Amino acid sequence: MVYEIEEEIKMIKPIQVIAIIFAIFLLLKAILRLKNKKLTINEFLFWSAISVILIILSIFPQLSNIVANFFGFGRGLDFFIVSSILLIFYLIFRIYIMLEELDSKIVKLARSISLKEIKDIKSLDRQQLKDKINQI
Amino acid sequence: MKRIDNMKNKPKIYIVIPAYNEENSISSVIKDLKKYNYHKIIVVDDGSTDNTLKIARQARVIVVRHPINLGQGAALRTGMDLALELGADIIVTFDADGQHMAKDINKLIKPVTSKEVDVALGSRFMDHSSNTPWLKKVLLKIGIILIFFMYGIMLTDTHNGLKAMSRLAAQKISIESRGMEHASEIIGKIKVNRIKFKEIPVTIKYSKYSIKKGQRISNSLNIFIKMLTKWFMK
Repeated sequence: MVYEIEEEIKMIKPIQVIAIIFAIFLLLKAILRLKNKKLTINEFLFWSAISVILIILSIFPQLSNIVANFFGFGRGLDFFIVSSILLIFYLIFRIYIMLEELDSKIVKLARSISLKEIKDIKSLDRQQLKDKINQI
Repeated sequence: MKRIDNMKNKPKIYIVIPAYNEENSISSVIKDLKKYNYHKIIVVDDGSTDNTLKIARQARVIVVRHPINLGQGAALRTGMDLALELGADIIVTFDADGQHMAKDINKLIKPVTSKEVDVALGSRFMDHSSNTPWLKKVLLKIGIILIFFMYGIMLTDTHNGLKAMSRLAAQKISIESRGMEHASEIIGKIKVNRIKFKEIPVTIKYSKYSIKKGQRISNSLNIFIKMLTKWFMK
């Protein structure tokens, strides 16, 4: 095991370096935002956990294979892609529901505006009503 | 007491007309309705960009205006809500493009006023007075079959805008669909709430204008997809 890890470190790939730099950048950003109180503790923990996992995975890529094998996937990348697609599906579903809700809110708002308008018109007298029609 | 008697004898009939960019036909539709003595008319201007609003207001009818275009289903709901608020006993929905005949309304509301049924649906296929174009006919028949599979109700015409309903039925059928799927939604609600209904033959006048203004055939697929998603989401 020790030998294998040394071997991995020796033939480190550019993508691993990029991933590590990105993860450190993410972590720093999270810490900075926590200091400025733009992030809650929970959000900070979430983002720092992601960057830590990213760092570990880029240093020991074979770890992802172990996780993938546990779930029944051949390679770590397959596991990653499939879980990403599932996540995206879930997010799309949520957005769909959100849009539907937003849509019905807009309809309700527009309807209440229309009905308010008619109540306003009802309170006008004949001359005001004529003026209003001419305005349009 | 006298007033109650009066109400019993003469039900308040409100005509609800959803209109979107119908400046060419709306005034003749209103005139036609007034000729047959229907004076309680609610025009719902669904955010038209033309002169529909002005023409309707000049015609001295009740006009509600949506600030933005919401769709026919939403316009019907607005009109029905307002009619209920104004104390309507019977609500008749009527298209603004001039394809419906005001003289059919009397026939349509008869079973509702006599309390035989709560909803009367207009049907263009019960007699042969409508000159339906053949492609439209095919699509409408497909719609009828779909409705049968979805709700188990076999009708002769499912996508007809001319309907009459009692106050009770209108309260139960509160349309949630924004667009054209309201036709199937209404039938679904009739089924769920076990509302008594009846089909009445009416004439649809297909003029060049109403064909141009009416549902484009390519839109049928769109309506179908919306119907299906609604059905699955439930």
